[in-house]
Amino acid sequence: MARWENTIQTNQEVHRLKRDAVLREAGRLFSRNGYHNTSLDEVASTLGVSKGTLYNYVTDKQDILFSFHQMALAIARRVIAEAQEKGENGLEKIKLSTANYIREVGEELGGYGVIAEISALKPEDRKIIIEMRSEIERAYGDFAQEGAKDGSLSAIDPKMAIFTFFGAVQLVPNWFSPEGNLSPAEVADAITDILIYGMATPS
Amino acid sequence: MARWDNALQTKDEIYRLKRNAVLRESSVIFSQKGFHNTSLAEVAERLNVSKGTLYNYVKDKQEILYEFHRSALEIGEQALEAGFAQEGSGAVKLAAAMQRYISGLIDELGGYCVIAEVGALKLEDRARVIDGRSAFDKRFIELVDIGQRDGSLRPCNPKMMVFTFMGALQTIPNWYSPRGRLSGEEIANRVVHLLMNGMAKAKKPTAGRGRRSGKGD
Repeated sequence: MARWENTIQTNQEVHRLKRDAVLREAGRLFSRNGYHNTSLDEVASTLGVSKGTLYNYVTDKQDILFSFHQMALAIARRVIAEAQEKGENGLEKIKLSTANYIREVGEELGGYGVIAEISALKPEDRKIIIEMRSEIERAYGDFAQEGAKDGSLSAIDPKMAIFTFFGAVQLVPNWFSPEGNLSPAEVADAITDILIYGMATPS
Repeated sequence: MARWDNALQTKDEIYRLKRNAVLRESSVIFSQKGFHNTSLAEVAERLNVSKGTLYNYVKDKQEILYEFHRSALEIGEQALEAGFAQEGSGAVKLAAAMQRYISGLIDELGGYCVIAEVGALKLEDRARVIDGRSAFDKRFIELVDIGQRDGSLRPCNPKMMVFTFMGALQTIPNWYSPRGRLSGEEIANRVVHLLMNGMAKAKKPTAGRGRRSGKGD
């Protein structure tokens, strides 16, 4: 495989890099203008290529959307595995994985514009994403149960708490602006802090 | 207007009652199958009328969706008024508003939190809903502001608080079943308790205004 001491990109690499560029740009446009309001034409013109060229890298908008969901879920799996390893108790595991997820999705996917768009996926893709999501929800549920047992979490309904978390994360695209004054890391810390310690001043 | 001592329903009344039946039934089906997976034909079938008859009461699915959004905004407005009128600290006012809003959405809109479906609205309706919502968000932030000034709420970013709350709301249909044992009021109590107090048993481990604890950030 390696030729010319890897200094020259292979065709496959070039293809992958171009596809990544398309996805990144689409992600930025989706985040800014919404998935439904963005056309592939706009993605092409922002990248300075023709729409025909674009089709060498993605089949359609839904293909891009599916890729985004897959990337977001890959991040979720990774942060959960890390939290499992490093978190001292249930609470710490939830805290770590939530904050890391929000931060990394924001940084790596250039915004949160698509992770709430489930209904626009093709039915077969939607099935895959929903299954992957339930897997993530189960992992969070395990963290919550662990926290209830080790005493780090108060008596809460774990299912309710977990969905509350997911809800807050899913809504981030509605108000987060990549050009705004908050970084993904700050957003991640603020949301996690509110959910873990509540809005009220403890009495 | 009143004839026969009001014993008979007027045509307008009958029309309104039928239209409400359409909305109610749609709400039940949407919550079971999702907005995008439900057709008007199914709504008609459940009501045992023809699809043609249905069209006398609603033009299309999007009109139904808009009606839900309108009701949700009204419920939100009433909830905010109740919150502002509530005696007590900002935290107490905020909790009262959230409580009213959640139980209103569940009891009056049948547990289906349509507020998640904005993209499917017609463009002009979407603009109206988004305007209504940002007005709602602003007043909500005012409540948070009251609480932060009197010290009953923690000094977090107020906008984040509102959106965290809205996120919690939006996912209620994911874990709440209309046939389950909890009423709208109980659901509201639990969600509000979680949001006000958080998940952690212990207080936040920072020394407040004193020295920072070594761990963490």
